[in-house]
Amino acid sequence: MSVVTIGYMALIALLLLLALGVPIAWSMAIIGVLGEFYFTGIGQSAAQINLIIWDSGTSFVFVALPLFLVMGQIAFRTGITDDLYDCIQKWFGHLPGGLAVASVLANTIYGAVTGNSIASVATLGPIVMPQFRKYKYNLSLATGTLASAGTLAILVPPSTGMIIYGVWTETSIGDLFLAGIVPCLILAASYCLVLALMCKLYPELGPKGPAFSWRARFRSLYKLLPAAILIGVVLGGIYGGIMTPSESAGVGVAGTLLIALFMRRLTWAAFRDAQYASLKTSGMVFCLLVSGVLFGRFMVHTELTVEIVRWIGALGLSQWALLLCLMLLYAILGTALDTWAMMILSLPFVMPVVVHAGIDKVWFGVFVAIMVELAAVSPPVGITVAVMRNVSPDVSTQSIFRGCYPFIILTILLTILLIAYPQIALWLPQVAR
Amino acid sequence: MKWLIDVPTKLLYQFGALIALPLVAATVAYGVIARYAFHAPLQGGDEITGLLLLIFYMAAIPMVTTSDGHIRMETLYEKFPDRGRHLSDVLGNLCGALFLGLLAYAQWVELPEMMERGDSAQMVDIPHWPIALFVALCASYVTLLLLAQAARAFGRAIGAGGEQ
Repeated sequence: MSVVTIGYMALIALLLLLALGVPIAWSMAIIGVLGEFYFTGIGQSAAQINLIIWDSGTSFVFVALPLFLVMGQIAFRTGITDDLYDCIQKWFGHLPGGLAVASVLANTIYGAVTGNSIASVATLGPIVMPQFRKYKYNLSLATGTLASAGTLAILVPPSTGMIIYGVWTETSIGDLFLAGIVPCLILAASYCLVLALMCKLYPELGPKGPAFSWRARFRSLYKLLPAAILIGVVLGGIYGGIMTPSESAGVGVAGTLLIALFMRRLTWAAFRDAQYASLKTSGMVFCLLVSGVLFGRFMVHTELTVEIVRWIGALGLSQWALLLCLMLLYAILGTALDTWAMMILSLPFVMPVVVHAGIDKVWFGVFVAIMVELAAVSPPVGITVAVMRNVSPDVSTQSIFRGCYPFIILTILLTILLIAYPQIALWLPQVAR
Repeated sequence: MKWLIDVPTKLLYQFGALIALPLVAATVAYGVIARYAFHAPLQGGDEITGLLLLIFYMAAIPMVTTSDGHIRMETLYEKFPDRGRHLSDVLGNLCGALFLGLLAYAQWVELPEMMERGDSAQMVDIPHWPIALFVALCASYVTLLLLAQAARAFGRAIGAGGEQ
């Protein structure tokens, strides 16, 4: 039996285990373990697992994940950025669809503190929804806006998705963070523009909110301060050449604690729950990552990835066609998997093809982040939609998905724009170098 | 028997979340402050952080495992009858047990050799064997947890079959 045939059999076995509902980490692990048994024997495969655990577990780059998670969790649980929305709605709330526009902007800034779309939706949802109800917004549009805007967190630094991609593909996390900024700003601006247009044309969708005096608006600006300080410390530290992303995560945690302490919002319960939540997510991602590495190495042994590269090369696809195929692949994966799983499961197969096609790894990181963002608001999984449904149990899941459709279209348009003009993502990292 | 699962899992959970993780954050933040404020970089800071991180991750696995924190593709799983779901759990737990059992085996084999060689961090004199011992203990414990979960799921599958 050829090694490639073994690779195909392993792939089928993996898909079968996934379909049976075996946890993704254990599915990849068992296939990787059995494969290594076959090629190297029990002793070598045990040594391989040992090596992977030590390599990945002690990797300083990988420190960024739990620390940024803690930073976001502390910000979320101490409510130090809860006032963000209040300030932004004072500036934009009086415009058509202004409250929705304000929620998009608040989500973008909030994402820059938490790096996590679920935290963004879970935090801003309960704050913003009463406002939407008060001013009689269309609830489908309102919930769809919040669920979609929450996903912007995956593009804006310190995106935890980008960290995983960077660790897995050995791509500079600093470059990935920078590459996500312009697409995120374009997306946020297009969300705002479309919301304003829709609500201008159909005022019943998003009536005007309250108007505030200029004095009240300027006075509210201080509420942006905690978020501005955190973003300044984290991003300024990385791009000022002062700290690595991992170091900035540690300093970010210390900064968040200090701000919460200064605002008298730091409680033992908030601190403890933030650590617990970060541990659970980190542990889950760690299992996924090490089993993914083991599986990836086995795939290299089988030469299946080389075969796939050769096969796709023989098709003579252009970069455009290849990326459109990958969009389709991620759309399919997104119907069944969540962020982490989508990335770790697909990258062992996709990365060799992408590298072979001459696609920039930093650019592709942004592409994957956008695909993950799409999956977060697409049926049937739609993780941010599920969170939004918890926030507003009276709005049906289908209604929330319907509210997401305009934003899904905009995100697809952005992806096409990115494929046509890769510099949109690559310009900022190049300037920073 | 329940306490055998609950107590060590909770202790490791608390140790990882309330001691190891804050220590990781403190070491990283102190490293930056020491470098710029005191012009005295923390020698071996990256290595200390790395070793703490490994301890943190290993302490996290039992809680992730017992609280069903691993991601699965739920599309079909949710549609399975009770018996099918329990059998899927048996399979999943056995897969995890084999993986972590092998890790435990490798660590226990490596441990005496590590002590003999005197493996340690390069910049600071921290021996690796206590960390390897912790990894071995955690991996062995989670392997037993997974086997216990597999046995319980199997029992439920039989029970569910009887009820049907």
